[in-house]
Amino acid sequence: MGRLKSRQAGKKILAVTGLFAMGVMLLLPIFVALPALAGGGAPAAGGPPPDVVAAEEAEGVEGEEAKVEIGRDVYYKTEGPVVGAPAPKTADTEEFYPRYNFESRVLLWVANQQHLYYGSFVLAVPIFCMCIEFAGLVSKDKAMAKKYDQLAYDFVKISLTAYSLTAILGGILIFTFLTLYPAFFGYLSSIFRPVMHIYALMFVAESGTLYIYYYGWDKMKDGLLKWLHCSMSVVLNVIGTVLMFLANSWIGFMMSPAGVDEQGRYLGNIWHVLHTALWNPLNVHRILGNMAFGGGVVAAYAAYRFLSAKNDEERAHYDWMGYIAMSLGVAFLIPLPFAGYWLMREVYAYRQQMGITLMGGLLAWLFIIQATMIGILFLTTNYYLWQALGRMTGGERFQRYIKYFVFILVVGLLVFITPHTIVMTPAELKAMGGQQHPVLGNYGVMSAKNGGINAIIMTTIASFIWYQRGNRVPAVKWAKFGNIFLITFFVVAHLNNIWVACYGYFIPANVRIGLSVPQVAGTLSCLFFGSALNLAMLSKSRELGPIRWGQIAPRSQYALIMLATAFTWMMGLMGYIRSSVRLFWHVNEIMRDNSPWAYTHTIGFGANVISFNVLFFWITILFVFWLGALGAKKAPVPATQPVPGAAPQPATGH
Amino acid sequence: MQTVLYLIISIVISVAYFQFLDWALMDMQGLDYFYILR
Repeated sequence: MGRLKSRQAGKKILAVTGLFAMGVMLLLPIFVALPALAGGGAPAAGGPPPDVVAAEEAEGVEGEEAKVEIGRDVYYKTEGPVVGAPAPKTADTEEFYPRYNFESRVLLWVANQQHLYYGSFVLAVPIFCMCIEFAGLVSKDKAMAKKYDQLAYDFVKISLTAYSLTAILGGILIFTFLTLYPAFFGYLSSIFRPVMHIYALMFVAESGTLYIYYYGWDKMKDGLLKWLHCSMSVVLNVIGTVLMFLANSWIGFMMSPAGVDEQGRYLGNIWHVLHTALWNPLNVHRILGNMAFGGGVVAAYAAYRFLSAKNDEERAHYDWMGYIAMSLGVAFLIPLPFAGYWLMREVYAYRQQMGITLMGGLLAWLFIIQATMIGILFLTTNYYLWQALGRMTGGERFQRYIKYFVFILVVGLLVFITPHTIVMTPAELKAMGGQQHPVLGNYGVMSAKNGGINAIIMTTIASFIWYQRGNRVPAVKWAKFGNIFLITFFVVAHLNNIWVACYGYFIPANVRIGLSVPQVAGTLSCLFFGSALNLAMLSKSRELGPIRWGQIAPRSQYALIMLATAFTWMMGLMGYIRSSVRLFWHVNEIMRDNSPWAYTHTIGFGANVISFNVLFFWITILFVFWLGALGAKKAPVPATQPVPGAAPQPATGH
Repeated sequence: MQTVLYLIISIVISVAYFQFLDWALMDMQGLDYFYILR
């Protein structure tokens, strides 16, 4: 007996040591890269190759002190030694833009978008996995812990196949760049040379961690090893996030270059190249967007499995999974518009003209489409939550108020999508006497539009609070005051939002622009304070009955699929807008795009390509879902147990 | 009576909070929240 114990202990020590060694090896690329980053990167990025240096030396340059040219950073305005070649001046020839008998930009657009869809998905899902596995680890209820663990495993299983597809699509993307835009890609690689290999090594590290994480699931299911397994998901997500930040730095550089002089020559400081004006807003916006998108896709997977389920047990499991994925997705959707505000503010701060092109000029109507999509997302989320109330005993108490919520949501959406300017032909423009319509031109002011979306978000938060209370009644001593205060707080928040939205019409634009900040703060107050107060009230509550998981109308599942499709479409749209704002520049104001496709497409054409991308993604992800279902583990919950009801405690804590 | 009292307290706190929020956040940006009254 004693020998057995010591053997087991030995095995554990061996496993821990092995894991530690593996963790160190996986993180090695980061440590190796640190000195290079700290020193401002490799000095020779874009510099002459060794054979050119040798030739120069042979010509008698040897012995003379090499002249160091000093350049001025276009963004940071600091000076640095010119160590890179200038951005190539391209022309519309096969040399710079080799082509097939098709628009190269559209080919690149599709390759890029598909890679991004899968990249976002495989970045988001491991974060969910980490949260859910941790919830299982700390859960005192063993049945619940097992359910959470199974759910996390289900999540990572889907992301594993998607991960392979991401890598394949990444390869296709690079080949598309090399084949169709060699001059531009060569320049970008020369600028980012000090970190390119880090990106590749990080990718290797992420693959390694992900495979160990997935295949080690059963071996590391107990005790300390389980904690190590969960810690591995943290490492996985750190690597994934760094990968995304690095990729974001490329698009940040293309939109708002830094670290180079006006000719595009690298000045030896890689941190300046990475840390451009838009890098951090892009990082925040993308991470939130990826999470919302990932939640949507997993919810759609759960809906698909729910609709094709053969028995109540499966239906209950996938209903629960869909709810959790949707909640996580929406939790990140709610702050997403605020991250968008920040990004737009930074765009305006960087180049006002760029902001005007986006929000008030050439691309403004795409923002109207975006507003419509955001409205659809929130309407669908609310619809799902109202449907979900049906599976709770006591949920019917809220049904009669739904019509008021619908009213607020619809009015909010109509205000949010009101345009300030209208798309017109030159003849129409002349007849009207200008861009502003005599009546409509007074509407569509940003503070009013912000009021619309904030009303929608606050209503969604209220729907979530309803859902948390679905089958429960607060039993704390101060429940009466709490209820009155909570309702009053939300009503006053709405009234304040309407007041600020209308106030914007009576003050000049330079003061009005600041109103977005209190509007956002008001909504965030509802989110944090409202949720916290509600949870405090429910800390002691009376349960009216169990949650009947699986007993939900199938239309709710179609709502989840709709949610995921709307996410996908909107992501494609916003990516197109962000990329199009550079107009005829590869790298804004540094490297001009001289290809025949350096123009802005019509809205209709753009929408068609986005729809194609969405359709292509969903066809391929269905294949991933099918693969996931092929190797599905049976019985998420032992058949002898009742359908989970009272026990599940999803993310929002009901 | 108790309900009315709770309601009044809630309204006072909520209105004061949101008005303070509006003013403070505009002030932080160097903007005048009471512009229309000047």
